[in-house]
Amino acid sequence: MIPAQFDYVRPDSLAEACAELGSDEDAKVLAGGQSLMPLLRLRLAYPSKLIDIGRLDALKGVHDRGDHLFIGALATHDEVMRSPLVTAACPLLALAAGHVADPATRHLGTFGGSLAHADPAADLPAAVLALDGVLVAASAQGEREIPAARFFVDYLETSLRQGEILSGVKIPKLGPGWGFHYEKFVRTAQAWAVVGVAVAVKRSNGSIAEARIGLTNMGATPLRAHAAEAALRGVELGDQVRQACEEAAAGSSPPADLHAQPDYRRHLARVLTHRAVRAAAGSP
Amino acid sequence: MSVQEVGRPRRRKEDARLLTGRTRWTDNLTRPGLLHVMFLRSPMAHAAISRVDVSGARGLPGVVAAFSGQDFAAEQGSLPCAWPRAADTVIPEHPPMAVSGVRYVGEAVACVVATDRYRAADALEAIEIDYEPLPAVLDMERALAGDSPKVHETGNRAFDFTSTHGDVEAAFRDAPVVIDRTYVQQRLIPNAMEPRSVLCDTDGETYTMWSATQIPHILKVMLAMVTGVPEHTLRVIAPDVGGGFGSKLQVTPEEVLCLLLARKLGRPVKWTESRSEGNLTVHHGRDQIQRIRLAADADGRVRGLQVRLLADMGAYLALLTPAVPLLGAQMFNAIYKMDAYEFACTGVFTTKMPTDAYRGAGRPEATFGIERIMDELAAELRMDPLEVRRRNWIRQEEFPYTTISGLTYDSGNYEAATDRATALFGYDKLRAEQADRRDKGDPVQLGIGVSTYTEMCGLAPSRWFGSNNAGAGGWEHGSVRVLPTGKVEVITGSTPHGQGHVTAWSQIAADALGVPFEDVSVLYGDTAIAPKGLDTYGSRSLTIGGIAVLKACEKVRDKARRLAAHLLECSPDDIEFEAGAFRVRGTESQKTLQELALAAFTGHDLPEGVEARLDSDATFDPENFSFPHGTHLCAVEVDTETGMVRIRSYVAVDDVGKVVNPLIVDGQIHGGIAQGVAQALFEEAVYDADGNLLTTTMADYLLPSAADLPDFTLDRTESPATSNPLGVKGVGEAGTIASTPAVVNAIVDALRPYGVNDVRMPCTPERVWRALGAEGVRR
Amino acid sequence: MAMRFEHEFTVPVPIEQAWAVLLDVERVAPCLPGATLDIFEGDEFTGRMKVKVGPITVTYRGSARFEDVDKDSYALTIQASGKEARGSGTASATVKARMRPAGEATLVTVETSFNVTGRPAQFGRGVMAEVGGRLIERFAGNLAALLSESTVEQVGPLQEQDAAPDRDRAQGPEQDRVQDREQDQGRGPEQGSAQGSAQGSAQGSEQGGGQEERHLSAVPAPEQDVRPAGTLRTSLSPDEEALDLLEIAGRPLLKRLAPVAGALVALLAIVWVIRRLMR
Repeated sequence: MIPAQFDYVRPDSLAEACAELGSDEDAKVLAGGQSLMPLLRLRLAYPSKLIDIGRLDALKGVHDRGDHLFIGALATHDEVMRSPLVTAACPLLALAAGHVADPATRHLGTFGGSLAHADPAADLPAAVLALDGVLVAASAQGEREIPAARFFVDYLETSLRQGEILSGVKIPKLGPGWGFHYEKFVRTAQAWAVVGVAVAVKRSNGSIAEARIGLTNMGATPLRAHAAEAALRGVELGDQVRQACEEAAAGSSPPADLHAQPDYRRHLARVLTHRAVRAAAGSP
Repeated sequence: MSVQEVGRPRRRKEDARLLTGRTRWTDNLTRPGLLHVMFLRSPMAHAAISRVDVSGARGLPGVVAAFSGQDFAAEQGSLPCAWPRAADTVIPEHPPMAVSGVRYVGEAVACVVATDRYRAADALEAIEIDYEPLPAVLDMERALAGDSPKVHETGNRAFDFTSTHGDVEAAFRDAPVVIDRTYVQQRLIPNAMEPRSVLCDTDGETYTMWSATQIPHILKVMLAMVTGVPEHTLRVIAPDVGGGFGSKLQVTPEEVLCLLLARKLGRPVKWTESRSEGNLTVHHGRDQIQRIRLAADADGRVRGLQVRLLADMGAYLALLTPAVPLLGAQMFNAIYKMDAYEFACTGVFTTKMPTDAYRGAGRPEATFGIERIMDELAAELRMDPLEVRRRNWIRQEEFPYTTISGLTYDSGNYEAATDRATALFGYDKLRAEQADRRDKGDPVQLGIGVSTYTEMCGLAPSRWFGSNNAGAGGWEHGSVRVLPTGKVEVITGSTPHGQGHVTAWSQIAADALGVPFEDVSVLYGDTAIAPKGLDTYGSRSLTIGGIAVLKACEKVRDKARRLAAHLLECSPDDIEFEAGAFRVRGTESQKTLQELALAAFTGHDLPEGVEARLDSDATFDPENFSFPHGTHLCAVEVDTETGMVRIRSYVAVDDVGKVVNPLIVDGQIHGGIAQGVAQALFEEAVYDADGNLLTTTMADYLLPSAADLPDFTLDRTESPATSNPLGVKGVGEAGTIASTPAVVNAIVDALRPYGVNDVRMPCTPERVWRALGAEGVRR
Repeated sequence: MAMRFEHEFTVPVPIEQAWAVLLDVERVAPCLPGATLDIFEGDEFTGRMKVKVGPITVTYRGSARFEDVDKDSYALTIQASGKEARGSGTASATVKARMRPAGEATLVTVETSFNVTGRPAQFGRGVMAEVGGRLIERFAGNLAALLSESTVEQVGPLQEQDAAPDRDRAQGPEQDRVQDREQDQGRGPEQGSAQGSAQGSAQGSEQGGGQEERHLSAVPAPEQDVRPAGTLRTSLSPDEEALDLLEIAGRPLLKRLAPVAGALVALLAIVWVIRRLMR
C-alpha cells in the first residue's frame, strides 16, 4: 500500500508545531512514525499534513527533576529502556519499554508517541497509568498537565485538544520499598500484548502496603485494576495474594479479536496480575 | 585437487552479495519509460459486477491508462491449471481480471497504469464499481450440500478422487482397535521475504518479463498458451528471488496482465505487491479437513488406513491446485506397513483465494494425519508412541520396499535415525520428568512429541507425471562450459530462490572437473541464458537439476579425454583423469583441463567428431522419487494456567542421503522446522463469515521469529538414494513436513491426563486453555 | 464483516409523539455523528458519513431507501448502502425500528444489521469493531435522547459558527465531572452481568454470544438544541463532523456501557435512512 498525498512540515520550535497543529484539524503529529506510518500505508488515515516534531530538542531526553523524572515525548523506547535515571527511579517504565515490539521499533518509536496514540494494546500506557504519571500538553496557550487517569479517554483517543502536543511525562519517584514488574502475554515476541500487567508494589513487613496495577489491552483504554489494588492492600505475601488478584479483571471490558476472547483475557489478567505482583514483591 | 568439495560446509557464494544489498530484486529493476501498475481488488467475496467505470481514473495526473476486466476480455484467456489429476476435475474459467463477477476478496477487477505508484494508488480510488453481492461459500461441508449457493455454475465440487489398495473392509472388520479422528489443516499464507513483483518490457515485437517467480521456464510456456503471444517472442527472467515456498510456483493473474499491458501500451510496466495485498492474493496453502480411520491389532500392528479428505480449492483451480492434496494419496501410509489403504479426496470450491503448493504441498498434510493418529493409537493401547511406530515401520533390512500405496522406497533406516534422535533428546529422562510433573500436579506440564516422517521427494519421474495426468514432466537440464581460460560456467534449468544452487552446483562441478570451487560460476533464471528447465519446487533441485549438472560435467570430461588422447597421441582408454589433469597412464605426459579448453576454443587440432569448445549438456529424469526420512522429537512445556506453549527442546535427525553442503542442509532444516512450528502454533488465515480475510497484516497473521523458537539440535543419518549417482534425496521440505505433527503431538501428550486428545491448529494459548476446560487448571 | 446490533430503550413520551419524531428527518438525522446529506432526488437520497477515531478516518458515500413504513404497527425498515469515498470498500445496513406503547411511555427497538467490506473489514485486531460499536451506540443514545424530548417545536435556524464554541464551553466542566464519576463508579467490583450483556448486543460474525438486549437509560435534552433546518448539515454540531469519542465519554447520557465485541463500522446508513424516511 502507498499513502495518499499529504503535506509535510518540520517546525523548528514547539510553538511553531503547536500553531501548525492548531490551524488544521486534519493534521497529524509525526514522531517516530511506528503507529502512524502503518495506518498511512494502509490508507486508513488520510491526514492533510504531517507535522514532524522529530527534531525538537526540547522534547528529547530523560531529566531528573527532584521528586519526579521528566521523560521527553521524543525519548525512544530504547532510550527509556536503557536510561540509568529510569532504571533507578521508575524501573517499571524500563521494563515495559523493553517489551515494546522489536529492537527496530524501539529505536524509532517514541515514548510520547506511544502514549498519544493511546492504543490500549501498547505497553507503555498501562505502565504510566500505574505510576500515576502526569502528561504535559503544550499549546499556544502554554502548558497543561493531565493526570494519566484522565488522559486516556477511549480507543485511540486522548484528552489532548486540537493544537496540543504531548511534550513529555512527569513520573513521580516512588521512593524506597517499591518493587516493579511488567508481565506481558504475547503469542510471538514482537506482537501486541494479548494482555499486559504493569505492577508497582510497596512491601512492608512481609505484607503489601500498596499495589498499583495497570492493565494493557483489557478495554478501550489502559486501565487501573482498582479492585485488585484495594484487595491487595495489607495482604500478607503468600497464598492470599492470589485470591486478591482474582479481582484483577473487575470493571474491565476486554476486546474480542483473533487472538483472544474476553473471558480468556479476564482469566489472563487474573493469572498475570498474580505473577506480576509476586515478581514485583520479590515473593517466590 | 586433494579436498573433495561435495560434503564440505562451504559458505554460500551468494550471501556476500545478498547480505550487502547488491541484489537484483525485480522491484529494484527499472527500464526507460517505466510505468507502474496497481490493481483494484474486490472487497466482495462473491458478487456479480454490474458496472465498472474507470473513467474517473483516466483523467488524473500521471495516469496513462485505466482498464477494467472487460478491456481484457478478448485477449486475457484463462489462467492455467496444469495438473487436473482426477479424471472428473472441473476446471472453471479463470480470467486474470474479473469480467462479470468476483469469487474471492482480492480478485483483480480493474487496474491503473501511471507514471509512479503513488499516482496509480490515488487513481484506484476514482474507479467506480457496482457489485451485486452473492452469498459467500466458505465452509467445505456446507458447500457440498445440495442447497448451497454455487461458486461456479457447475457447482462446488471440483473433483472426486479415490484410490484403494488391499481389502479395506477386511482390515477393519473385527479389528480390535479402530481409531477415528478428524483433523483440520488450517489455511496458511506463504510469506516469502520478497513480495511478488513483475516487470514486462517490449520492443514492439518481443517481450521480456522479469518476475519474482520460481518457474521462469514454465511461466514462459504458459504465458504463450494463455495469451497467444508467440512463445519465441517471449523471454522470462527470474532475477534474484527472495523465497517462494511454493507461492511463486504459479502463473499469476498479475503476470498475464502485465504482459497484456505492455502489449497494449507498448511500454514497460511494473507491478509489486504490498504485503497486505500479498496476504490477500498470493495463493494460500493447506486447508483440508481430514477424516482418518485406522484399524489395528491389539499389539499395535496397523491393519488398515482409511483417509477421506475435503480439500479447499478456493475459488478457482490455479496451476497445481487440485494436485496438491492428491500428493497425499501415496503418503498417508508413510513409513508403515499395512494390509489395506483407502484414500478419497473431494476438491471443493469456496469463495476464497485459491490454494496451491506451499512448502511440502500435500505431504505435510498427510504426514500430520498419520503421525497424529499413530500417537492416538499409542495412547489407546497405552504404548510408547515410538514403540508403536517401531512395530509398524519398514525395517532397515526390508529395503527396497514397495508400500501399500505402490511407491518403492529405495533406501532408509528408520531405526538408526530414531535411535540417534532419542539419544540426543534424552528421551527416557524427559519421560521421567514428565511423569514427575504429572504426579506433582505441576502447573507446567511437559509433553513429548514424536514424528517419524518420510516424503516422496525430488518430484520428477516424467513417466509418473504423465501417468498421473500432469501437464508437464519432471526432467531437469544442465549444461557446462569450460571457458578458454579454464574457468567453468554451469547453466542450470533449476531456478533458485534462496536454495544456494550457485554454491552446491559449484561444489559438484569442482569435483567432477577437478577445478577450484572458486573457478565455477552458475547461470540460471533467464530463458535466454538457460533455455531448458523445469525449475525449482518439490525438493527437486539437487536430486534432478544437480544430477543433470553432474552428467553434463561427465560428458565434458569424456570430450576432454578424447581431445587429450588426440593431442597426446594415445587411446582415450589410456587417459586417466585426476585433479583436473588428463594424463597418459603411467607417464608424466598430460594436458590440463585449461589447456584442453584452450585447444577446444582455438579448434586448431580437433580429432574427428569432436566439435569446438569444451562444453556439453545433459538432461536427467530419474526412474523413481527419492525418500528422505527422519525422526523429529519435540518437548513442550504447557502452562496450564494460561495455555501458553513453549518449545523446550527440539531434536531433528534427518536422513537426506548424501549431503553436498551440510551448511545448506542445516539451513533448510532450520527454516523448515520454523515453518512447520509456525503452522502448529502461530499461523492461520482467517476469513470471516462474509469471506473477508481478516489476517491481512502481520499484526494478525503471526509469523514466528528466532525469538519464538528454541535452539534446534540437528543431526543426520545417511542412507544414500539409489535413484541418482550422488545418492542425494533432497531437503527443502523435510523440516516443514516433520515438525508440525511433532509439536502438536507434544502438546496433546502434555494434555492427555486432562482428557485431551486433540487441539486444533494453530494451538494458540486460548485453544489450549479451553481444551483444559473453561477455567483452566488451578493449582 | 457482518454485525448485528439490537438496542432497546424506553422514552418517557407517548408513542404518537415518539413516532412523529422518528419520522422527522430533520431531527433524527443529526443523531448520527459525522453524517452529511448531499442530494435528495425523487426517491433517492444520498449522503456522506465520516468516521474518525484517532488517526483513522473512513468516509462513506451512500444512498438509502425504505422497504416499508407501517404506521399501524409503528414499524419501519430501511435499506441503505454506501461505498468508501476513497478505497473500494462498501457498507450496507438494514435498520428495523419498532415502537410499542408502554403506559405513558414508549418502548423503542432498533435492530441494525450491517455489513462492511474492504480494508476496514480486513483486520483481526478490533479497530473497526471499536469504531462501529461506538457509532451505533452513539446513534442509539442520541436517538433515545431525541425521542425523549418533550417538545418538537424547537426547530429553528442554526447558527453554526457559534454553536461549536458555545458547546465547548458548556461541556468543558461537565466533561471532567463525568470522567471523574466514571473513575469512581465504573471500576468497582466485577461487573460480570453488564459485560455479558454488552457483548451480547453486538454479535460479530465470528464471535459467539447471544443477542441480549441493551437498555440505555433515556436521556434529558442536550444543553443546546442545535438542529439544522434547511441545510444539508445533519450533525448535531460542526465538531461532530466525525465521530468524536472524547465527546462520547464526556456525555453522561451516552456513557458507554462497554465496548461492543465484534462490532464494525458501518453506521452511516441509518441516518440516510431516517432522512429519507421523513421525506
